[in-house]
Amino acid sequence: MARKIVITSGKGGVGKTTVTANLGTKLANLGFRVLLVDTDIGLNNLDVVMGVENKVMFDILDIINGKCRAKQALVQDCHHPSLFILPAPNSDSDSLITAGNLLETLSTLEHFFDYILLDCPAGLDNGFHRAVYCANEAIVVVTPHISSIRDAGKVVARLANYPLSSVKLVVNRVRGDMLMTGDSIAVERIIDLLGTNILGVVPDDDAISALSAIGAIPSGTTSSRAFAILAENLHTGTKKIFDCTYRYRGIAGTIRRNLKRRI
Amino acid sequence: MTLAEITSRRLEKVLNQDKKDAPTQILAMLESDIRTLLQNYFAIEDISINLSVQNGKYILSTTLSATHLKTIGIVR
Ligand SMILES: Nc1ncnc2c1ncn2[C@@H]1O[C@H](COP(=O)(O)OP(=O)(O)OP(=O)(O)O)[C@@H](O)[C@H]1O
Ligand SMILES: [Mg+2]
Repeated sequence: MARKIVITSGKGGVGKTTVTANLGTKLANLGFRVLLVDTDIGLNNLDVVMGVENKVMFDILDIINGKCRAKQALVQDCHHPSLFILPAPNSDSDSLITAGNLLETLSTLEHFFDYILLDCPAGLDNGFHRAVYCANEAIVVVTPHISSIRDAGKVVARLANYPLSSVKLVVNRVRGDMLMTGDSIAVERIIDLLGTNILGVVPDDDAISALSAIGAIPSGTTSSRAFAILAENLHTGTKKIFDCTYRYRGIAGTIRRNLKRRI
Repeated sequence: MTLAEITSRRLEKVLNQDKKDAPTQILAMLESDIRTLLQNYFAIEDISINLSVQNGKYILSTTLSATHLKTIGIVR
């Protein structure tokens, strides 16, 4: 039976879809059967980030309306045979998909997968409930910015209303150079303020935004290594934390830091 | 003070305030539930329930004054 994990955040644009796509890819690299579910109805992007938008034939709404079987709607990833995407409808059909509908759909699929990752929409309303209702674990994505951490606090409080076995943080877009200069809040402090366990950190990496435009998952990059650690932590329960500051140590690191300094 | 420290202090205040704001409706229900529960044990004269947030944690304190403890029904 699959572990069903919702990737949420409260605040928009902090990296839920990026984490879903890259974590899913790394889990598939480890040999697991992984399903990525886009629950961001109408504002769906997972298909584009995964580079499969041209292969989409059916979506969640088609399954619910009986136009296709659940398995027919799955899109296989171009590079990983054990990685599949369940697309969300492109149109604004939010009110047509209830939490119960989605749960029922996933129950017909969960036997075929080891992991089901649900990419949650931003906010705390219907879409949030629908995604969290179907999960038994949650990952809260947060960036080291005051508004994102505040919203994550509200999400963590809201998640306490659901019977989840685990709620963990992923701190995304960590700037090693800013940590070194004391310009960015430390990851340990974020964990402390939110009173939640951490799954891992992902550095701010230009490769993510650059390569997502051509529908590719960055490999061999700094963030790719961080996502590999995230997948390992998730599966084995290890607590390894990627060191985002390593590139900014020593003489070469100081030069890099000064080149990056914007304030 | 570094920017990280300023952010950290501001966040601590904001998060504590958000926690305090959240349970306004819940507090009324909680108060009535606690009163009902304690009425089984005490002849209540006065009761006050206070919910505060300290270091990011909820602290619930209940102060009760009662004329006597209800012992009926307790098997000795
Ligand atoms: N670690 C990172 N380094 C650099 N860019 C990143 C990183 N994580 C995310 N991004 C970029 O930030 C933008 C928003 O990311 P993403 O779409 O994953 O956020 P989201 O939380 O899913 O947004 P929404 O709430 O709109 O669904 C994208 O352009 C993405 O490429
Ligand atoms: Mg998204």
